[in-house]
Parts: sequence; C-alpha cells; structure tokens
Amino acid sequence: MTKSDKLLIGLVLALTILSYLFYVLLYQGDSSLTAKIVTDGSIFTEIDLNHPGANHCINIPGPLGTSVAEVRPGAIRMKSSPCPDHYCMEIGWINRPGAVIVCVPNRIVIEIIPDKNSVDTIAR
Amino acid sequence: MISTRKLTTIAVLVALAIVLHLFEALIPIPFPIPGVKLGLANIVTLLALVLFDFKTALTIAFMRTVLGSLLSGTLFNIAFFLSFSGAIAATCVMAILLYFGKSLKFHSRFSLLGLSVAGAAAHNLGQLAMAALLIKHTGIFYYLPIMLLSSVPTGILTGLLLRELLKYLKASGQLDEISC
Repeated sequence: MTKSDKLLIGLVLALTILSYLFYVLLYQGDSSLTAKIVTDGSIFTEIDLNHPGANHCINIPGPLGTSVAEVRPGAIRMKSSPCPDHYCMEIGWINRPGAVIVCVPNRIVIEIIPDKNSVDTIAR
Repeated sequence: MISTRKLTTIAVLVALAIVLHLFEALIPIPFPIPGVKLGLANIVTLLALVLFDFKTALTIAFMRTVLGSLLSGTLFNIAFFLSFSGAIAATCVMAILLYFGKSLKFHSRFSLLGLSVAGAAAHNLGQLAMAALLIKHTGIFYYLPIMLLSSVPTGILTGLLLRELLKYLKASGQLDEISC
C-alpha cells in the first residue's frame, strides 16, 4: 500500500465520518418527530409520531401498487410493498430524525423529520 | 485496427465480468441496502484499465451491466440503472486516478488497492446519485456513511484479489500474450 493509497483511504473514511456527523449534528436533541412520506418527489402526507397511542397503517400509492406503512409511537416502518426486492421492508422500524426508508422501485421515501419549529431554527 | 487477440481478450473479460456480476447477486448481504456488496465485477474493469485503456474498460463496464441485467431479467429497471451508473462512475474515477498517478513518482502512485477503494466509493456514490434522481428526493444520502465505509474493506478485498490475479498472470506468462 503506497502513501497515495493511505491518503485516499483516509479521505474516504474522513468523508464517512463527516457525512455521519452531518446527520447527527443536524438533528441533535430533537425529540418530537414527524414522518414525511414523499411519493415521486412530492409530499404525500405528514404524520405526527408523538401520539402515545399511535398504531395504524397508511396506504401509499406508487407506480407498482400500494405500499403500506405502519405507525407506532415514535417510529414508522414499511409493512408491505409491491416492489421486487423488499429492501424498504428489511430496513425495519426507523425512529431517529433524519432516518429514511427508501423504496426506489415504488418511488416512495419515508423520512423522519424533527418538529417543524426546530427545522426552522436550523434553517435560519 | 483492433487485433483479434485483443478483441478475444475483451470478449473473455466481458464474459468474466458478467459471471461475477451475476454470482455476486447470489451472495446474501447483511445490510438491507442494495448498494453494499463486494463489487467483484469491478476487478475486471480495473484489470482492463491496467492491461488496456480507458475506452476498453468503459466498453467492458457498459457491456457487463447491459448483458448482466439482460441475463438476470432486470434490463432497464431500477437495478440496471443503479449498477450502470455505479459501474460507469467507478470506471471514470479509477481511470482518472490511474492516469493522474502516472505523472507522480513510481513509489507514490496509487496501487491497485487504492484504485480499487476509489472505484468502490465512486460506484456507491454514482448509485446513490442515480437513486436520488429516480426518486426525486435526496433523503437517500442518509445511507452515504455506510456506503462509503463499506467501500474501504470491499475495495481492499477486490484490490487484493486483482493483485493476486495479476501476479498469477505474470508468473504464467499469459500477460505478455494478452497485452500485445
């Protein structure tokens, strides 16, 4: 392994840490959560995940058919999906701000966003 | 004019890349992310870059993704676009680093390991960018850290495999026959 190799590997690792820190710092200390569901680039719906009794499913239409998302207090997952690989279902429950479930075949993104106020604070 | 020997070698390399491409899809991955994989087919792309040139490597990467997807029945669907953009990005980045390295002193050039890691990282980045384009949402970059991190061990592994392969080809005298 040459000096250039080590530099390059160091650079890739530095980018890894930076991109990880980006998500950690961006959403630091947010406890109130909203799930945003985006289909084909536009917002389908936003769900408040803070209700302690939340327990329901949402049907999301996509080009392949209907995907079903399940909501629990503070978490959301893709329960079923008509896509071929089911990577979106394998991700399981997501509960951290910034976390996403992506279903590329059915063009669906489920993203946990912090409470609107704290997003505005960051944006300003 | 392209020699028959070179043409045959390219055809063999394309066939080899397709087999690796398909074989890799059979290996189960402990991550629920489509992009995290060994990148065995990238060995062939890098081999073509080292033996021949950028154009040949690009041709092989192109043929591999098109024919590989055709054989696995995923031509022109999502998996095809992801692996296509990844393979092209990896080829371009490895070629740039390889030719850039030629302006450096020999001992400070990128070795096969470095090139392979860069190729793996570029493959993952290209894939994520294409996925973000397809879903019209940048949220998928949430997976950037794990994709980048995985490119280091997988890149090193494929780089080591290629190093052994080249050693074998040199020792058995087949390299001189191929590259003329």
